[in-house]
Amino acid sequence: MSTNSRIVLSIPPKAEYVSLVRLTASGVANQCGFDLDCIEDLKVCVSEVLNKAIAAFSEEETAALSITFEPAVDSLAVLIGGNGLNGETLFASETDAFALAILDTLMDEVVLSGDETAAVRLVKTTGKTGTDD
Amino acid sequence: MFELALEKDEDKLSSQISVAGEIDLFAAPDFKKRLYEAIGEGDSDVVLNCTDLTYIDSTGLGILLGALKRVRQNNHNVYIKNLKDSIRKLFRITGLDKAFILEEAQ
Repeated sequence: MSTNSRIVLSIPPKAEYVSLVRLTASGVANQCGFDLDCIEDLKVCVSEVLNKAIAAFSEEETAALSITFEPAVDSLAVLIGGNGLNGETLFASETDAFALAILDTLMDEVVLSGDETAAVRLVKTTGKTGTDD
Repeated sequence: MFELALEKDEDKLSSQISVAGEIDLFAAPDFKKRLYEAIGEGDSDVVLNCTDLTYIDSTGLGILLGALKRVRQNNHNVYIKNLKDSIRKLFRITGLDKAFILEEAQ
């Protein structure tokens, strides 16, 4: 996959669309040359962020979540954003400990930002399968 | 999409539950309902066979933890068998490998 290719998905903030994003993440990561472990890591982490983002939107019908995949030479970045979405407060609850632990362990970079266009930025580097292996 | 099947031991010492497919945010409400129905009051050990479980997120892990608490109240336990490596890794990361009894893949 060309490193200047950007893939952008826009989905309603509803749970039934998370599997669609997982499938896309899997396909993009595969084309980037990630091994199976890395692909699984990426699918898990993208889903964890979307779970929280969807909860933040509640039942608002008109909202949309954007998921942008940015391949680079040796990595893949995934940006998740949406109107009013704030990454800095997304994992503030005590019950988010599992999700945060998963993100921190499986991703090479996790940036939580107040920028609603990229409230969460995940970066996975090719060939790295998480430090817990 | 997921599937859950319950098979009680003849001596009723344990509930054997097979879980297959993907357990994510969408599947979580139905999974919680069916799992809790399967374990009832938690008055026996629970054995979860995860041979065909391909995906679970933190929502699903939280539901399993809730089930464990219910069973532990009656001094029983939850045994989890045949986890795929990618899912076993999530149990390790979250520390749940210490809470559940994980049995090696057969």
